[in-house]
Amino acid sequence: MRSKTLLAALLFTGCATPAAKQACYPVASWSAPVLRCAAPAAPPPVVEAKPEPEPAKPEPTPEPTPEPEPAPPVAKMAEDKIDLSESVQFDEDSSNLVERSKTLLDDVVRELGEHPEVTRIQIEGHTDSLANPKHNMKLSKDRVESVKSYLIEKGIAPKRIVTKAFGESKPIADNKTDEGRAKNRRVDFRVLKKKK
Amino acid sequence: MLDKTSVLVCVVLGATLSIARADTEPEADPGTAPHAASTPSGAGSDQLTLPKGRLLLNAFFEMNLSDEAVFKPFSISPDVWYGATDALTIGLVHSGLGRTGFMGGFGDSLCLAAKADGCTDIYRNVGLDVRYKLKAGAPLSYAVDGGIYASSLDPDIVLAVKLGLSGRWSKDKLAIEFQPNVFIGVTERETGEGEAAVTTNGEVLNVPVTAFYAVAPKIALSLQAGVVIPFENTSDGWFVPVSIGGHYFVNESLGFNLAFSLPRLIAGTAPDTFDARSLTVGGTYAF
Repeated sequence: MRSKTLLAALLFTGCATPAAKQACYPVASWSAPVLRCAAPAAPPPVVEAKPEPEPAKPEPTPEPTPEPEPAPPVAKMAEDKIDLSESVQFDEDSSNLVERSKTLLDDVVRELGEHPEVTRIQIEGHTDSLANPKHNMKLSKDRVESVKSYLIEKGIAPKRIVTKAFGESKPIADNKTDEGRAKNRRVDFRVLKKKK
Repeated sequence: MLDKTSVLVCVVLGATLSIARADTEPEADPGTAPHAASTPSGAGSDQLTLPKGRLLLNAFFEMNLSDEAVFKPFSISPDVWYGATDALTIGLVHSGLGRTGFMGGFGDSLCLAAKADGCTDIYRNVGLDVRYKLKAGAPLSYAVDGGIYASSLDPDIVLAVKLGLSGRWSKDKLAIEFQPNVFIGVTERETGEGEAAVTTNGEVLNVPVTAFYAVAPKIALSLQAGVVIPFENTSDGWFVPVSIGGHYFVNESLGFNLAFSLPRLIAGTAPDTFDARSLTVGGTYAF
């Protein structure tokens, strides 16, 4: 009888899906069973196929085909950083996140949830060199704090996050061109500590 | 008597804080959370049911610590929970905690002391519990809970049906759980006959509320209070249990907890309710 019970328990255990095992852990609770689960993985971004061009019509001005919706921005955990498909963007000269960047940060939250072994990240803020250095330093500081607040609001433990503002001191492109300045206005996510 | 209680409370808290200190000392940076999900401060969202195919085992070693009745009785109560679907979890429940939500029961399930020491049966208090997830996530998650419980199997099966709600609110290092439930007696509701009949398996409302605070990445402290209200003889039968406890997670699957309880801190009748005390040592393993 006891061996049957044990076998049943082992069978149940074997039925556990690997994904579920990886994502949920018991928490301190007196309402068992209670588990804490990482945010579910977002579905892969869907890139809409371009519609086939319609055959030429005799009308001189055919109706324009609607532009496909841009794919949602995504984040991906790398060895020592979180790669972003695009930059985190803010309102001009402000620390307010634009809506599209909130979607991107939601994906950062998902990645952090799926990688509990990453116990500390550093959010690094950079600006271009258009304003004065003091202003740029304050702006980059406000922006990383804004990003940190958003991540905490979405469930990331505060102790997993530290911030660092660099202002305009670490450009990665030429500040003399629009394209270069756009690259320099950025927020990086660096992995500082991992659980072995 | 109160001094003994104070000593026991200090032992429980002291042991918990010692574990906490031992746990955090080797860490160069206390902000790092190697198993952050194990305490209320970890990232993620809570759910009161198991994912499909997951198995959770809770086992409690419960002992009476009342005056002149230490270890009379003591018992082992295992609870096994299984995720039948992502929303539905079923449990084979033996512990007082699993049954009513209140910590601090003893003499449940496998009662290991002699009859003279308080065990009426070796095996008693067993139930089949079902929990259905209504909402999972942060900060609030909740589920409906129900089951059928047998408080005694010999000579007669004393059955009751449980209907309840389980909820958990968590933010940062704090979590609060509430589990109101009502038991409705089904069989053997009364003992005695005629005017001497007494309701022993009637309706009872249990309202436990527990607060948890994460003092370290793997450590949490808890405080539970609530009220038990029988629907008959209410003015004499109600009581307020209180428990304090500590939780320590060894890793992401295995955890231990310790609780000191005053099962009847305040009661409708009982002149000195500090006489009732119990200690519970529990373990949790998630497969």
